[in-house]
Amino acid sequence: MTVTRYKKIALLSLLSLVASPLYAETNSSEKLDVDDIKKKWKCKYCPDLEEEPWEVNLELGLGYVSNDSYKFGEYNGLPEKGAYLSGNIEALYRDHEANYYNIQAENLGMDSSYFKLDGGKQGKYKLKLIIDQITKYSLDTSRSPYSGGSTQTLPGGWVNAPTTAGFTTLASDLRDVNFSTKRRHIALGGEYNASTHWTYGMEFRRQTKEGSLPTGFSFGFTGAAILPKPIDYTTDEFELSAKYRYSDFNGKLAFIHSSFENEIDAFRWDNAYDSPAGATQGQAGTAPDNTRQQILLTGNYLGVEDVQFNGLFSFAQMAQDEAFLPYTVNGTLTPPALPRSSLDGKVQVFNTNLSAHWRYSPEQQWHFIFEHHEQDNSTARSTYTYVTADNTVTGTPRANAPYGFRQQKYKINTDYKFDKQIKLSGGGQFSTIDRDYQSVERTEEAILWGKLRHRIDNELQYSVRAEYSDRSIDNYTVVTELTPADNPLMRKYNMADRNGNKIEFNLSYMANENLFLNFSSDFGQYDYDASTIGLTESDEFSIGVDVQYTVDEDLSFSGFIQNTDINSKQAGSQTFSTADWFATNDDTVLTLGLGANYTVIEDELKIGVDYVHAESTSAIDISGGTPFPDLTTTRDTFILYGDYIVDEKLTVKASYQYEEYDEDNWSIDGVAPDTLTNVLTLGETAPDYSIGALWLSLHYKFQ
Amino acid sequence: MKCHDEDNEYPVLPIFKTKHGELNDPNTPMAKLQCETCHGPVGDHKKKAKKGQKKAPIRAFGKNAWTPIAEQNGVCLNCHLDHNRMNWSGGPHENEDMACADCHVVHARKDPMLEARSQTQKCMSCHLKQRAEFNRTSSHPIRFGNMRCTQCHNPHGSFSDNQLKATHKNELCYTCHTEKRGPLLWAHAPVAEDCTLCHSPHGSLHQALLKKRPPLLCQQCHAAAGHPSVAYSGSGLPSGTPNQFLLGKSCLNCHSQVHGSNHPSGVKLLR
Repeated sequence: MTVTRYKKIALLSLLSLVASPLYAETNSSEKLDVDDIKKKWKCKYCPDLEEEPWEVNLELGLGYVSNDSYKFGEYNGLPEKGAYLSGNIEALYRDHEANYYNIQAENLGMDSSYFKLDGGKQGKYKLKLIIDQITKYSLDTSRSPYSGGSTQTLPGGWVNAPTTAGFTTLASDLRDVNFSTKRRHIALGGEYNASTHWTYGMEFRRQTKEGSLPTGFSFGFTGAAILPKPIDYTTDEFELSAKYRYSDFNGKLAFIHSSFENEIDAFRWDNAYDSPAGATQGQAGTAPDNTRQQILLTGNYLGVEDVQFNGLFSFAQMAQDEAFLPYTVNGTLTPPALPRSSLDGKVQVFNTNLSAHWRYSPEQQWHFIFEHHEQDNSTARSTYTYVTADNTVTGTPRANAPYGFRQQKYKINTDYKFDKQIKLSGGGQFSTIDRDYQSVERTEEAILWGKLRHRIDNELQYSVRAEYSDRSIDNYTVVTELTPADNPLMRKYNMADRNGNKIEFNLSYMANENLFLNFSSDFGQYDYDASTIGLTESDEFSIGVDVQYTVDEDLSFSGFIQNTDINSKQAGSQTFSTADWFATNDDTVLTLGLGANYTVIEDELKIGVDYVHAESTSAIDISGGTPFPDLTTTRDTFILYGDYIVDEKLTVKASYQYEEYDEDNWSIDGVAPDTLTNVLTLGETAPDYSIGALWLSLHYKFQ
Repeated sequence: MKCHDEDNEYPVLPIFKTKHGELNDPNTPMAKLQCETCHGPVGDHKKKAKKGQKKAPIRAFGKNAWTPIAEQNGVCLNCHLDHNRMNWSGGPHENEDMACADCHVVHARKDPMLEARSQTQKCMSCHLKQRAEFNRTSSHPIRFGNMRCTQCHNPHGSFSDNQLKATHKNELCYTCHTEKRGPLLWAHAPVAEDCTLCHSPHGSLHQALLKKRPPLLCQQCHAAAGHPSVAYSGSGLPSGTPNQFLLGKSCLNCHSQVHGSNHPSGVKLLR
């Protein structure tokens, strides 16, 4: 849409005064005084907000869940069998002086809940407060002999041994350990319209994340354990912004300060094994405190006829200078002193995006885009004589690699409408990535694409899109500092020569006002022809059908089915030479959904049903090796719900959800805590449940 | 307005409880020319239709409305062409000839695009593949209603691919996953470059949104002599000789600091 178009529309709207019967008193031969007309005009049909400025909806629900499962309650806050109480509030206020308040609270009392309050005086200022909490449950069948927080200890009497088989007290020392994380996000901010041109904004955001994650650590090359590692993160962000709008120019300048703080600076755990000597405990680092400051400028300009210019400039600095932990807590090892006490890490991030959108004619438009993203890592390099997992002081000290990269993209897109039925689009992109300290200094990729969209009539339309891409590298070299060295035939897939093809097809058919059908399919394939070791080929094929059928205004049905195949091939070498093993990974995901809505009694009783079946299979095959069983997941979710409207104010809601889930996961199936000789695992089992959840709630509307 | 009350096929009165209907904000359509600000001159539309004929049309909104989509959207952008919508022109949804009214319901008390569940439903009505991806066993909690599409994407266009709200993929991921931001002493090279090299953000059949299961995922890049190069097969399952490089967390049984480490001895992401 161009500036000319906007102006025409505004002018048309203004001219509508003349034609509008609402302004019949105006003599069209006189010069129009819009403000005067508006003062005289009174909307006799507009509702009087003073009569009912508030609209409040309250909902109180009681639920019951029939069984325990972290997977069922993964994000919905219903991980355990039992009763739950939940409340929703929606309050809306608006008066005749442009004051407004909106309060929205969902799932109050539950582990995952949402609260939002926003309001202000429209056109002058607005304020908002958001409190959003999400709890994620990760495991509930895991067991561990460890306990504690940032230091995990073993029970008294623990028998250290060279392997898990020697942990003679393990069975009696195991206790249940559940894993979950709670993320809470709070945002408080506002905007003030200082004038017709300037708007100022300020916002403070705090995000906390607490809980524990299963995390593996080892001693040396053996002696590993999966441990409950606590996390306690706080991220504070403060944003100041100024927006400017004048005639054909629109801009925003913002400053954002972000600081990340980790309450846990180090993680320690008792060594369950009897080696290495002196390593009674291990210590690992945690995510270090860090900061990020960003200045962001965006704007657009419409002053050139039929062309819109957009621009973004951003500069950010990320810094991290947390005091280093010692190389090891193994007192028997004597590594040299650390080369520095902290990293003093600094990364400057530059972003530039410039674009011009040119509506060359009503039929044709062009879009030119330039993007630049750069991470300039100015972190100092030092050489570290590290200790391998509290076991041995390395004989080959390593210098840190302050990875940085620069990415640029040049894009040209155009489309042409032959008529109302046919639209042809096409474009090209050339992009480069320059990297520091990696195997490939520069990759270049060219992409060409074209798309045809044909609207045969109001009922039937289809589109076809095809894309070809070619990525090339300048030279692949093994990073010599890596020990042990990588196979020189390895081509890491994000830096390898690659050819890609994609094709997408979509067909939609509106058979009549009641029946809508959509069919879509896409296929993408990437060949890594120059890769002898590593990923050599990948492809993805997806097909889906969507149906919506409305019998009448009381009854409707919907359904969809989507199948996706994701395949890949890769090669490896056990002999550190040419490829001597090959692997295929064939993933299939099928998702099917059915739904119906029925108004049993108009304005009184509505019911609905939803069913989703989601299953996946991952088949892995290693050439010459013993076959793997398939990795599978199957979930069937059936939801029946209904609303009974007692009167204008009271509605009774009910829902029943029945869900079955089953998973075959050879990574953990049959793996007890001591199954692996050198890894003390959590012995968790794959989720397998049948759960019913019943909810009854009363919804009351105050007016 | 006299006709378009709550019993009409196109009820409009709830608009007075929305921002568009605010008479005391000079920027709203209702404070300007009321309905005609957006719908243009009413003209003969006010007159009773002759028998067997439809009423004279006014500017209408929606995919199947007679008004050209560019004109419809122009009405909206005339006021809303701000920081969040400046990339509409030339963006994916504009190229699909989408009308603002395809998603937004202006006359309703509450635009369904502003609520997580209803917004998700609307997005998924076209993005069918993504709808299926969010039903995979590992996914961001979109289907639970705890996240909405617009937390990551700006459907009105943005300065980056896939209409992401940040200028670079990772900057978007760091919005919630700040602990992975660094900078770190021992960075894992691909992490800072692009999270989606290993993760499928919409959903995966493998845990932690991974594109593939370790050790094969890791072996796509790591082929040093020794355990990284070994072909781990089904013989390493509990029914055979349980293999520590395959079972449990596989590579992450030891190399758990896969997003990078700031520990002086974290060079191999063990600490």
